[in-house]
Amino acid sequence: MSGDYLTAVAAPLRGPRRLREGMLAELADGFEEAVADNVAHGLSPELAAERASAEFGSPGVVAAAMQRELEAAQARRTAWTLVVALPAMTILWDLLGGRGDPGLAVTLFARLTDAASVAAFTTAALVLTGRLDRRAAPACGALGLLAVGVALACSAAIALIAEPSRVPSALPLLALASLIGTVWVSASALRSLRVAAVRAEAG
Amino acid sequence: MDADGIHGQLDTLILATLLRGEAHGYAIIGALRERSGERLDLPSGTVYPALRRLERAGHVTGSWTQAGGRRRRVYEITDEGRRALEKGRENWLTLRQVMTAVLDQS
Repeated sequence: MSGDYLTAVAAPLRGPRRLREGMLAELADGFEEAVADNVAHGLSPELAAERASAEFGSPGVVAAAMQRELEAAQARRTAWTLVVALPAMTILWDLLGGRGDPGLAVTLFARLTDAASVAAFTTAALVLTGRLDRRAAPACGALGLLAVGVALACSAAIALIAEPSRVPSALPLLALASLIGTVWVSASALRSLRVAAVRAEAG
Repeated sequence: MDADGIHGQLDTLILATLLRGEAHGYAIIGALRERSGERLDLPSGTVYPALRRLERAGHVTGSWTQAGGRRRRVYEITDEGRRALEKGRENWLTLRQVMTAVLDQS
């Protein structure tokens, strides 16, 4: 019976595992204590668990409150990923991407990439400083994906139009670092969107 | 009083119970029930995520402890939490004065 209640609360939850398991462990501990209190007041174990379920509230209400915390935690994780990975990739390209004027088209694509990164970085900074709370997870997720999407598209365009003589010697290193950064940011951004979608589904 | 009646006040009530000293979730639920004279009909399971929300806001600190074979998370109010409690108390008193003034004239 206790297990039924706790399973029902846990079933819809998505988000950072440690926080999820921590909240559920606290809930389980409190629920067990509530059942024990009710048994001490003379109820049968079945009735005691039923009473505890009523006291703790419907599993949907408790799960929704927990999901809000999981979403906030996931948003902060993605925000940290964005504030670390995006400037790191930008600085790396600025330092090792070659010198001299690469031409107007390449410069425009590079600036477009920078603009998308700045938008995602700013959103992440607002989340980490507590200025953006509601919709933080979908905002971080969407802008993180936008930043890497724009960076990939612009990189592909630059690769097509850049003169071979201007290809930086550190290209393999830059490509590897960008690949790692892209996978890291995309994975975290997708997790934020998935976690936010759970709450949207639950209403 | 049901959950809707105290909507928005739960954080303040939890902080108030922690003024007496650190406590774990179920002890806070018990304190809320006892101090309200059993009149607070709250889905007590929502106290656990509320504590995490207060922790995220810096109003409480939480730490796992081991006592009597049980692993429990114990919460303590912070200085910022005391300030938030004071603000919550002022807001509530203002709301009560407004409600009283309007209702007394009806």
